[in-house]
Amino acid sequence: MNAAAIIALIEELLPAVISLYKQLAATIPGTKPVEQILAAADANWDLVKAAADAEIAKATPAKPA
Amino acid sequence: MKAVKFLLLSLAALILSGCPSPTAQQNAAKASQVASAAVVAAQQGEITIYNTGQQCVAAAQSVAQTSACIVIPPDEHLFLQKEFVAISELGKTLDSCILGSTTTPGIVACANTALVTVNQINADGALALKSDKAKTTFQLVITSVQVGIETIQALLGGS
Repeated sequence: MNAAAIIALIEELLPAVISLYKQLAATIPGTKPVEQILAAADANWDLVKAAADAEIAKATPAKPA
Repeated sequence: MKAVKFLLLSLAALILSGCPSPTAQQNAAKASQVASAAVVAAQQGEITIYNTGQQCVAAAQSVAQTSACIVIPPDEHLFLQKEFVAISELGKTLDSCILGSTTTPGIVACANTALVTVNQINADGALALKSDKAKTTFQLVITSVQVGIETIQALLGGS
């Protein structure tokens, strides 16, 4: 990885990730039930899969009828 | 990239250590939630970069303009999205493992197993990706997940 790529990473992606970490610091109570925390994590993983499936579908040519 | 990883790991540790007496399961669950949120953000970033690059190429009217575009090649975008599917499945498996583990060694075992899978996904990406943008985005995703898992290990004393 070259220096330009690292700079691009910091400029474009890292602030969003750091912002999320800070937001989570304020929104996850220490005594919240494990089930609720994991349900929130699973909801995020579902979002990732749904977005990925949509991108994969866009990139895959439709089969002829 | 190690500096980025250290920063994220420090942030995660600060967040989780500030919470009032959580159980090992709660700490592990929170680390997984932080990692999942980071992956959502990184994936959206990759999709935005890809779409912007494609629009830039389509609008370019000269070779110079085209070469100025920041492009993730379509095959690498597709590869990344398939890796996102694998990572989401890994995340759900890890969450399920955490939920089913009531002991600290059990949760550490969940984290260790997940880390092996992440490292394999990382190795696959290193072989498949060529463009700087795709590699950078992939490294951010892998680092986010590694940090989440290593936070679990650090908080619970595993390795």
